[in-house]
Amino acid sequence: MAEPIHTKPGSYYGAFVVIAILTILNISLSFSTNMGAIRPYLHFGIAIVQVATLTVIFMHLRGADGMTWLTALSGLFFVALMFLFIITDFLTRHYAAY
Amino acid sequence: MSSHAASHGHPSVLAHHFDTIEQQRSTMRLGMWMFLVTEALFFGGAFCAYAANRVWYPRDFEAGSSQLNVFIAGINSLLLLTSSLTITLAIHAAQEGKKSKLFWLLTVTILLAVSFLGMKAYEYYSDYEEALVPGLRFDESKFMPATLPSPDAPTINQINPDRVKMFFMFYYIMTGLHVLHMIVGIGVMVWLWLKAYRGEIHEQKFLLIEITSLYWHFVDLVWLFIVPALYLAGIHH
Repeated sequence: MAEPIHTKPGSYYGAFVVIAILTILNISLSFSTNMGAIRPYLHFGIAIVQVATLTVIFMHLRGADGMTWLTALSGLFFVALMFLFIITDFLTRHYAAY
Repeated sequence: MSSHAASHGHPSVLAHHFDTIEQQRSTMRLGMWMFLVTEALFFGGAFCAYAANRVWYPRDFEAGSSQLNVFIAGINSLLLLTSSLTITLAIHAAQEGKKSKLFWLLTVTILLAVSFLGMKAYEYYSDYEEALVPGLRFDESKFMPATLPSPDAPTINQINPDRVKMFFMFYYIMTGLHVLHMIVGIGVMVWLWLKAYRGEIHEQKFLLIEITSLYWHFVDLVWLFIVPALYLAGIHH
């Protein structure tokens, strides 16, 4: 990462506003009764945008060095791997049939 | 600072085993990121277990989620988000040597975090009052078909109160772990606050704030996923 941090405070306020608006939007959508099966995807999709904004701006991934990016992405990769194997196992047991 | 470092003419914050202050700071940042990866895997395990059970019992989990207080969750989200902003601004205050501004930004951050915990405590109390605590006080009749808000729903007879209890156990364990992490974060911030009060955090020591802020943002990150997973799983009225 560059020394010292060069992110302008304006970026923080911008990120704050984006995440706050998405928070209100996400909660508002929980009162909607006609979204059907898309509901969880929409809620988590919004959460992913919020988290991406948080990590890139507030956690200074923007402007971070390669090792920091590699570390962050490796964490994401191993969490994804854990989900992939475990959820695949659960979804193929056909538990509901019993 | 070690006397060894001083004898080599290093800046006062440079530990003797680093060549430059930039190298030391990069290493400290990387160390915290490594720690956060282990934390991501820790919480990832809890979210994974939750996801597996929600896939199996979607209606039971949605019925439990509908009973949670989404307004408190929303207010808490904004409290935590604001604390993320103030601790980030505190990094800049420390870099610029504005000790008074740093002190007040840390004060506000801690107050916002404590407010979150206060709201959470009130929410847990409300959950108890509404008999939503399995093993302690749980009203199964809330989840019987006749008392649900939409008795004509085609899948209503598939709701099993025992599975709803499981949802609430996930709710208490996941939010409880999050609260535990918040308490640790507040403890570290109080330590920084005391150092700032004594004027011990100067321009060269801004990284203390930055490293702590990384942890604090991660706590915020986990909360941003807890809200859709637990609070927004069901429809609210």
